[in-house]
Amino acid sequence: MNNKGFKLHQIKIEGFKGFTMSQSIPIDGRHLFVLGPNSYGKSSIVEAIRWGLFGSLRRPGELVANHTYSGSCRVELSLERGDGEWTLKRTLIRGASGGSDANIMDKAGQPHLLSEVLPQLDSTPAGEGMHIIYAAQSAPLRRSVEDVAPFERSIYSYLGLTDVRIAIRRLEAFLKEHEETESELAGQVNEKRTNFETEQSQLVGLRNRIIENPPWGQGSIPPYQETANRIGGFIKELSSAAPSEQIPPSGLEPSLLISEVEKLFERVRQSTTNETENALHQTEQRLAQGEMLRKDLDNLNRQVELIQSQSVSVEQELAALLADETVDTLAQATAEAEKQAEEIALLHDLQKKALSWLERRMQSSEDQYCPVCKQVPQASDLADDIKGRVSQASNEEVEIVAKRDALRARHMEALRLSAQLGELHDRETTLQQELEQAREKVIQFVTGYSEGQDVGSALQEYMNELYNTKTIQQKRLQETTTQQEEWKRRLDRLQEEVRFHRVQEQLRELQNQQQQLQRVEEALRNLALFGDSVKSINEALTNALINTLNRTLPDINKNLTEAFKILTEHPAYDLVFIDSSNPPNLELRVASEDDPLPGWQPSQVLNAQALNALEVVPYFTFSEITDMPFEVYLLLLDDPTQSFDSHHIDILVRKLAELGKHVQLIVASHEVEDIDSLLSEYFGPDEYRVVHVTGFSRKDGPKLEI
Amino acid sequence: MEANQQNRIQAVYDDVSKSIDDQNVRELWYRLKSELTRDGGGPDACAAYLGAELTRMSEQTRRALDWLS
Repeated sequence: MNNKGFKLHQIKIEGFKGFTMSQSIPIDGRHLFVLGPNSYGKSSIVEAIRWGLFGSLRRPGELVANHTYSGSCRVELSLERGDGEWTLKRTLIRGASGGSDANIMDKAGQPHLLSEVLPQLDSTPAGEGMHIIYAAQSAPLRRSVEDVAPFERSIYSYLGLTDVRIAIRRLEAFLKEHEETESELAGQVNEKRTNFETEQSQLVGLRNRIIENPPWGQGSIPPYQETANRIGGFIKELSSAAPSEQIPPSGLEPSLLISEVEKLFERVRQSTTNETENALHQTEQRLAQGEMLRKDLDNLNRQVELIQSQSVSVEQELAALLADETVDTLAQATAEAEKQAEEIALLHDLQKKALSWLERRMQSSEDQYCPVCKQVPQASDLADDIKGRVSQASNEEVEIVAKRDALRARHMEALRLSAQLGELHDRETTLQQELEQAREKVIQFVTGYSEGQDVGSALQEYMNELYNTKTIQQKRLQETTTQQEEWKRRLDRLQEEVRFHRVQEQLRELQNQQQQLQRVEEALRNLALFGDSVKSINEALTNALINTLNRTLPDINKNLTEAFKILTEHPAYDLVFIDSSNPPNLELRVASEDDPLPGWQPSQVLNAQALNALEVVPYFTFSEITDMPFEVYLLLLDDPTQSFDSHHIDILVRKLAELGKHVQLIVASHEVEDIDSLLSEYFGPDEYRVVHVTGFSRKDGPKLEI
Repeated sequence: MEANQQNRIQAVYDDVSKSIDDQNVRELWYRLKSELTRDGGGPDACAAYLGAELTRMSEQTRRALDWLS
């Protein structure tokens, strides 16, 4: 066996997969055959060696630790070469996602860096193998790519072209990344160019629209300084209209300056408008107030005059009624007339009663004597006399009653007129008080009232002044509005001028950016050329690789075919070759010598036994290359005899014995009896060790007989 | 690296060198080849160089694009 690298001398397994308490398997640098029924833990031993060396398993995500075991999960490999025994310990980091700690110590127990002692191993993934090679246990678990990948790597390693293969892979990955990057950048550049063109078109359109109706008038296009001077003049004009308003600071760039001027104009417009409008509003309020006072004053004056007129009329009427009398004398005369009328009425009634009695007596009695003097015929005389008196009294009474009634009526009318006159006087007094109050209000209202001045006249003069003021203010407001409209037109023109200069500036800036974009496009072209160069190199490298493969593969194909024939003795497919039509990808094909091309994928045409044999064929071929300084040169075969009959098991073991001259074999198989009997036939007694796995329990793990 | 292996790789690289006519591609290939063949280099160093160049050129383009925006 080749002795340049490390050999495996012992393995200790604890808490790994089905293992619980630590178990040691002595190997002593020999080949190891682990024999026993399926599911007893043979594969766990092969996997423990893989994990111990690389820290990962064949199948990603597979559980490493025995979760029913509370102790550590670790594998300890004793490795030996000329300078003594080294110990590689790997321990699972609990709680981490599959991470592990590995350390290696020399025979003195001195720790060393793994990368220093085993640099190849440290930099190699677990699935990659030339110096560590594998065959998987179960075909259904494998995918063809995974099967071929290590095989492909093995061939390239065998050909000494590993770096070329990796370089092509890297170049392909780079070209993919480059294509994505270039596509992304080209998209951005195109978008930018489109944006520029759109923006330029819009700006030119705007500039042309301004030039068609130039805000600066009929002259030539002014330079910005001229526009700035006009803005400065406008600011001064606005400032003079409203000196308290703050003017924009100097040194502002055009668009900002015109924006500030717009704000200033708005402030000045509000300021001047408010001042004029407020003054006018105040005048109108004063006028409304004055009109109200005047109305009150006139109204009161009219009422007083009316009352006074009524009073005169009533006084005249009363005077006419009383003549030279007074109401009191009229009252006395009326009382006297009442008394006279009462007396005459009484006398008249008495006379009528006396006459009535005398006439009744004279008619009913013989006695014609006078009842007073008792003389006859004096009674008739008396009656006649009384009749004459009654007649006289009646006339007097009529006269006296008429006189009394006239007096009474006059008296009543005099009383009414007197009362009316009193009411009129009271009303006039009240109105005079109200009038005085109104006058006081007017005096207070009228600015500049002089003592003794007629209130009404003073009010009228003041109102005239207010009306004049209102007219002036209205005119001023109109002037202000006109001025503001003029300012607004100037501001609009200045804004348009500034907009024009800004468009010009933006167009210049856009032109600069387009020049910059050309530089970006140049950079993008360089990036594309860079990619094209790499693509050319990749093509040249691939072609060179193809040439080399075309020169070298025929011999390899021959070796592969020989090994396959020996292992399988397949009657139909007796040709094995490597398909390199898609470099650097390589795929194993089988065919018949009668019909060599294009060949078949093995899984399409081979039975399970032939497939398992084919799985190890490349390793039989390439492991004979023994002049490479491998650190650890192992062949790990997990149940390579699956589906093999006894005859083919015999062939396999014989080939393994040949292979074992170059490499340390670690083989697990369930063909206990066949392998056991064949080992002694093809291997020397000191060349191998056999471990029998005779049982399994969850508590104690695999039961090993060493 | 073992001498035989080195010779095979070198032979491929020499074939590549002969097949390249374009001056720029040739210069880039020499640069890559030095990354591929120097001690501690190899394909990863070559890929790192290419990746760095791509990053540099794309970043340069991106910065210029950013400046434009």
